[in-house]
Amino acid sequence: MQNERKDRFFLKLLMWFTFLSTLGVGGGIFFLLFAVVPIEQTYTDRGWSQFKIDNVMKYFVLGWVVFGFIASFLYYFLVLKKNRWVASWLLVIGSVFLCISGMYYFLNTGNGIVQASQGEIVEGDRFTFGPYPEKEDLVRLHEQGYDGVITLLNPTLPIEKPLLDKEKASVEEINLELISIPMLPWVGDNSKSIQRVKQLIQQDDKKYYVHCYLGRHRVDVIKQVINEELGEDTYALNFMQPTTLERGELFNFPDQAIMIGPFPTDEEWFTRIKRGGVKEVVSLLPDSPSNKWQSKAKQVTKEMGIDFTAMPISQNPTLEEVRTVVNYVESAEHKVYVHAFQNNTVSMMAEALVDWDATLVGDVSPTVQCGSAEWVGRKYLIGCSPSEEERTTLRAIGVEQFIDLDGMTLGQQYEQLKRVKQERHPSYIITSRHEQEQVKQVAVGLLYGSMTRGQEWETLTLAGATPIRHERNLLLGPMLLPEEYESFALAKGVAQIIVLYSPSTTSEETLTKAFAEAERRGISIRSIPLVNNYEEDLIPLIESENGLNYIMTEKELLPLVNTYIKKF
Amino acid sequence: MERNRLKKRIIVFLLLLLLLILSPRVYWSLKEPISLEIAVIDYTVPTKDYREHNGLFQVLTSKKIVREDGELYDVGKDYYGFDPYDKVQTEPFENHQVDMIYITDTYGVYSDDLEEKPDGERSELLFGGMNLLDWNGLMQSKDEQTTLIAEFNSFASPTSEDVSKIMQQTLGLTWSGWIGRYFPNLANDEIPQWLIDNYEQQAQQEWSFEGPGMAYVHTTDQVIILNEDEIKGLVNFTLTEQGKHKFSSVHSSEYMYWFDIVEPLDGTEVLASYEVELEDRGAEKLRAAGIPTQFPAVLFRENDLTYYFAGDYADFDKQPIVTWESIHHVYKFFAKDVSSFYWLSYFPMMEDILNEAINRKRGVSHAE
Repeated sequence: MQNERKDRFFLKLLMWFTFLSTLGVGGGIFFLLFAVVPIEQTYTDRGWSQFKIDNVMKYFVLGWVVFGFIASFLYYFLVLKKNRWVASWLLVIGSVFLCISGMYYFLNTGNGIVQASQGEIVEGDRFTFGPYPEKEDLVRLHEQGYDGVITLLNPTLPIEKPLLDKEKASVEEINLELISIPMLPWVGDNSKSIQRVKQLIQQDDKKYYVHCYLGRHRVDVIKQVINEELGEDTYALNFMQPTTLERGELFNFPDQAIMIGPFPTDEEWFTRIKRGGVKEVVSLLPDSPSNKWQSKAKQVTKEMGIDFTAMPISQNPTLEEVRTVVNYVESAEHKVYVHAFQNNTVSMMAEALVDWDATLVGDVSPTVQCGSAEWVGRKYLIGCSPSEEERTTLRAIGVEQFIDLDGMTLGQQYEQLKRVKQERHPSYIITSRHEQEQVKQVAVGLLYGSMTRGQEWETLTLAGATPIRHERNLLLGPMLLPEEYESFALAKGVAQIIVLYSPSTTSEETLTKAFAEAERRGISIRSIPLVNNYEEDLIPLIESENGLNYIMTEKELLPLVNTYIKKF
Repeated sequence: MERNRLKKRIIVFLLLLLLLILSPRVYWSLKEPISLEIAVIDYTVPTKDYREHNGLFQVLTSKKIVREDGELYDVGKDYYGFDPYDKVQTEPFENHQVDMIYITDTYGVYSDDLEEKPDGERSELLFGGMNLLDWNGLMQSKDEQTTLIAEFNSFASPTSEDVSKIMQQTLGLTWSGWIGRYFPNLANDEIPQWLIDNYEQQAQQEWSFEGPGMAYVHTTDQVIILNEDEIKGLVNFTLTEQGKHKFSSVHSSEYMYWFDIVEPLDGTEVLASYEVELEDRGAEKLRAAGIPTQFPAVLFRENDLTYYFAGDYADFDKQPIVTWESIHHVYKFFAKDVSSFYWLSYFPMMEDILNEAINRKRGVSHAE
């Protein structure tokens, strides 16, 4: 009798334990899929932080555990203890069945129940994110050229270990690389796993499929890490096209996606040309095998995956020859870099044609009655007043108008030259001999900034500070004193003043004064606050103006602002 | 019959008692949320406890202050700084009109912080330090109705000197370069390794301090340690006369965490100050180093609506239940050690400052 009671006790204990464990596992799986995942998604859609979600989900998990214990105790006290054997067996068998079906659905991820809870597949260039891949998915990944799979499943979780083992066996058959970076959802610290992912991103450029079980939470964490590490969008935005290369000046026309310049150095091919997004290089150099520069250009462009087109042109070209090149590059649907060896007549004619659709023609400065006229690119000639016969000759080389600045004040000269620039007509600028240098400086400044790598600014001091030259047409310096709007901005042909100001230190009064001084003299002026993403406004503003850009800021902030500008 | 009546009475009584107990919770749930747009800056979030700004969020939840979309402020999301889950910077602050800007910490996250057991050594900076662009963005968002609050460490390393000077100017103070802290035990793990290393290098002797004491550190890495024989007690936080006028329910308390030593500029009021009671030897040590024993704790500029807390006030690592109306009054009685400052001084002070901001906002709305 006593033995029988003992046996019954052990049987009841076994049945209770079986009920508890199978309800916990089986019920837990369905609770996860039908309750936890949708609830978490609701909170995510509401914009809750992961911290808040984790704190709340803990209670759900705890609730399930408590429920499990309460259910099992009720089972024991209300059913088992009262010897309701039919009900006891039905409940325990039902619970076991629940567990088996839960495990079956969990381990066969292709079924509808699991798929309904899975995240979407998100494809990227190097990384694709999604749920657990079955064998046929792995085969497809291999066929699509993926190099490997990054699995975030955790072998310490009993329900994930069989899936991980299955995956390992599959990838061995298919010959895919499997990288295991275990992570835990909701709980635990995944720092080490995140660090491993970051290392992986940097070490090669292979293509991977990244997954956890459902392709949601853990995958989302890694997705964000990868996007942050690759940072492609940020990289593309923070680059300002330079305008000075080793062998000469570079002229950038962002609207037409054309750049014209000299033969780049080895470093410049990558840092200026490739990085500038150039898809085709048009070389104006003689195209013969003995020309080592041409051969080099072909080799470098091939290595960088850039198209190469040879359009050799004579040193003293006709208008038609240069126009042929310009027509070709203007018809391209991608960014083109046109180069000679250094800046020469050809490149300056091309620059004028691209910018103004008109150019002056010739290599040698024409001589007029009182001396040689001076080129400013192939857009202006500056000299003394030509005779009627000389005007005819000048018209034949492309001069469309004669602008007389003789006797004008500096401010008037600036205004006239600015107007001529806006009208875009190649012009002959008439000035007296003693003012020719001054007029030329204004004209060069307005059109190009400098054609002598900033030599004209070397001895410049503004507001007690030395301005910093960044490019052919970019100077950074302090806020101008009132008299310097005339002695510097007008005299050097500043095309555009950009006030880069610090909202926390620059007063409204300072800004207002600067605008008043500039506008009074007809100088374009803009202001940009020095806040995050200020480069989104600054870079397009600078790149849209080939003439001299003067960025001014508070003297105390010059070193700091210089550091920021140099980043681009 | 009698028994039934008694049973009913007991049930009613229990229900009433339950209602009474739950009434603060019910009251909190039913009370109207208050919308206030607050930008919280916290660059020092290496772990998921968010402790550097957690203290502020407890106050916000207690007062049921919500975002413009009506949701309670989320300690894991509603700040600008570093995300401890993804180990990356959060979305940067973008210029927009706010009612309050609170800079809780800019010290940042270092590579060693992400180790399971950080050893307190100074390691590589991953993210941190206020830069001019961020500061300008914040200042651009501040108008005459916006309250700006900053606390230690907002402008010390790794913030550059240039930006630090600009921030100090805006907050109406100058920083002496000294920071300090009371330690209950100079021999335990809480002492940062860099402090020990600096001391040993300077003093050319091993760190062998025990018992309670104070540590002072300068930007030049100069270290002064006061042991238990050189101090009389803790660092006392007390309101000044102006402070008492402004904060009606803030109590004095003992402050037990990091502070910095600052001086107010003209136009800056001192609303609370610290006092360090020392033995003669300790006082002499500080005098020789030019360190005062009484110095500002809370500074305020009325014209600019800026507050500076010369301590790590929002740094709070607990998750108390605050969704019960006025429960913080209960916590006051049981608060001890580090928590006592939080419940006695910081919490009521922040309540008053927030009330001020709310009234200002309502005043503006009415005017419109």
